[in-house]
Amino acid sequence: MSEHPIDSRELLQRIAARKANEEWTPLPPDDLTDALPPMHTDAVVTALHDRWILPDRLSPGDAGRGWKRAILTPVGRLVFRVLAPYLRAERELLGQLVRSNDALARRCDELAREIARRQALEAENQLRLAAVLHRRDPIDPAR
Amino acid sequence: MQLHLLPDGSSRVAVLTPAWSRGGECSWAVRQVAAALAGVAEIHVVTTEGAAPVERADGVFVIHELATADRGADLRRDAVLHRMDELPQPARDEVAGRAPLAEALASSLRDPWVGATEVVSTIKPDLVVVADFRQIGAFEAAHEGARRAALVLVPLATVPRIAVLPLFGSLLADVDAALYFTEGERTLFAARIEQGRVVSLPLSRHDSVLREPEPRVREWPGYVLALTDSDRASDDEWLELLSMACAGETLVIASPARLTLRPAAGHAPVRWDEPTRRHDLLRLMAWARATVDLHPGTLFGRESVESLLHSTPIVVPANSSAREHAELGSGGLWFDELSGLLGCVETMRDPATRDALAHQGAAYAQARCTTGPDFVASIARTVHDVARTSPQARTLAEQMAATPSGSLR
Repeated sequence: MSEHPIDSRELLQRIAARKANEEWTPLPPDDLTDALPPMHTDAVVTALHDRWILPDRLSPGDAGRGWKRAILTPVGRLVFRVLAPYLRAERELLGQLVRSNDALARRCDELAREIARRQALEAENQLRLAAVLHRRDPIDPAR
Repeated sequence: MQLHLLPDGSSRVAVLTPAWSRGGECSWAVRQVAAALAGVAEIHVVTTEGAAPVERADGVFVIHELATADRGADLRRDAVLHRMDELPQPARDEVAGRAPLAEALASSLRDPWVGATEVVSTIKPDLVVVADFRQIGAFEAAHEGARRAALVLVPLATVPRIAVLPLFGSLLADVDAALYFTEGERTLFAARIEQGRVVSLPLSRHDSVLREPEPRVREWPGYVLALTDSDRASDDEWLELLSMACAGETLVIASPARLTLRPAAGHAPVRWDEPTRRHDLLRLMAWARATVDLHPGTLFGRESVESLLHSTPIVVPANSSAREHAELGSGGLWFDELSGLLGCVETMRDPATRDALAHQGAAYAQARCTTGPDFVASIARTVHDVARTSPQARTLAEQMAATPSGSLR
C-alpha cells in the first residue's frame, strides 16, 4: 500500500478506467435534419400577403338600400376622397412592412440553413479530431 | 597560462565535460559538482567547447577549451544512438556490434578529446570527474593522462535515456563512483557501477514569491500554468487542447519569449511579448492550481521540481525526466497522449485531490532538494567513499571533511 493518501499511480489507473468506460460518438454529419419549416412559407406570413391591401373606396354593398344608400353614398365618396392621400401613404407603408417581413422570414431561413451547414462541418471536424486523438504519438520530450 | 587559485599542495580536480557553458540542465549540474569541490581543490575544466584552443579563467575555475566540438555531428550521432536504443535487446546488441557503425560512433565520441590526455597529464589531478557517460575520449584521457587519479562519473543520462551498453559498458569498469541526479540514472547504472549516490538537488523554495501573485495574473486566481517552448509548432495542438480542457477557467502559457493569458470564457486573451524572468516564473508556479510542463528539462526537470517545492502539483509527459518526481512523490500526474492530458487536468479540478497532490509533492521536493552546504556534504561523502579505494583522493576527502559544509554529517 502506498505511503501517500493519494497515490499518483493508482489515481492514473482510476482516471484510465473512467476514461475507458466513457462512450463518446461524434454527431454524424448526415444526420442533421431540416428540423425547422421554412419561415417565408408560414401561414402567418402568407396571410399578410393576402390581406395587406385595405379598401380605398366605399363598397356599394356597404351603403345599404333606400334613403340610407342615398345619403351614405355621397358622404362615403367625400370621406374617401378627403382621406385618399392618407390611405395611399398607408397602403405604401403596409406594403413596405409586408416586404420587410418577407425579407426577415427569408433571412431566418438562410440562417437556419447556415447553422445546419456549420453543424455538419463541426461534426465532420469532430470526426477528424477523434481520428487524430486515436493515432496521437506521445509527446516528444527532447528539447 | 596556469592559474593557481589555492595554496600549493591543494588537491587538483579535472572535470572533463563536453558541455560547460552550453546552458541547460547538464551544464548546470556539472557546474554544481565543480563548485562543490572548488572550496578545497583547484578545479580544472577540460571541455571540447570553444572557438580556439585556449586556457582561461571562469570565476574560480580554470577552463581548458579544446575547441574540437562539432554540434551538428553530435546531434546526428545522438539521433543514431536513440534509434539504436529503441531496438529490442537482441537486435540492439547485434547493431551495436557491427564494426563499422560502432567504430563510427566511437570515433565521434573519441575524436573531440584528442589533446585532452596531454592537458590532463599537465594538470596532474587527484580526482577526475567525467561528465556524460558516453564520452569515450574523456574516459581515455582520464585513464592515460592521470592513471592513479580517482575517477568519478556524472552520467548525465538525459531523457529519453539511452543505454546501448555494448558501446559504453566497458568504460564503466574503471569508474570509482557515480553521482546521479535522478533515480532513473541510478537504475540504469547500478548494476555496473558499484558505488553511486543520488545527490540532492541544490534547489530551494523562495518564500518571497508566495507573498503575492504575479501582477499580470493577479485577477485570475486558480489558473493552470503551461510551460512550453515557443518555437515548437507541435505544441500548438497540445495548447489548444489544454485550452479546451481548461474551458471555464484561466490558462496561463509561459514560453521563453512570451507570456499568454487565456482567461475564462467571455474575456479576450492577453499576450506580453517579453521573456518571463526566472523570479516571475517561480511566482507564476507558486500561485497556479497546477503546472503543466510540456517539455521538462532532459536531466531532471528543474521547473517541475520547483513547482513542487512551491506546493503546486505537476502534470508532465510520461516519457520525461520529471515523471520521476510526479511518481515517486505522488506530487502530480503524467500523460502519454492527448486524452491523458485531458484526464490529468480534469482531475486537478477536484480541490481535495489537487491539495493532497500539492502537499505530497511539496514534502517530496523538500526531501529531494537541499541547500548549498548540504549539497557540498553529499559530494564530500562521495569523495570519502572514493578515497577508501583510491589513495590519490584521500587528501581531497580529508580537506573536504575539514570544511564546515563538507563534514560527513
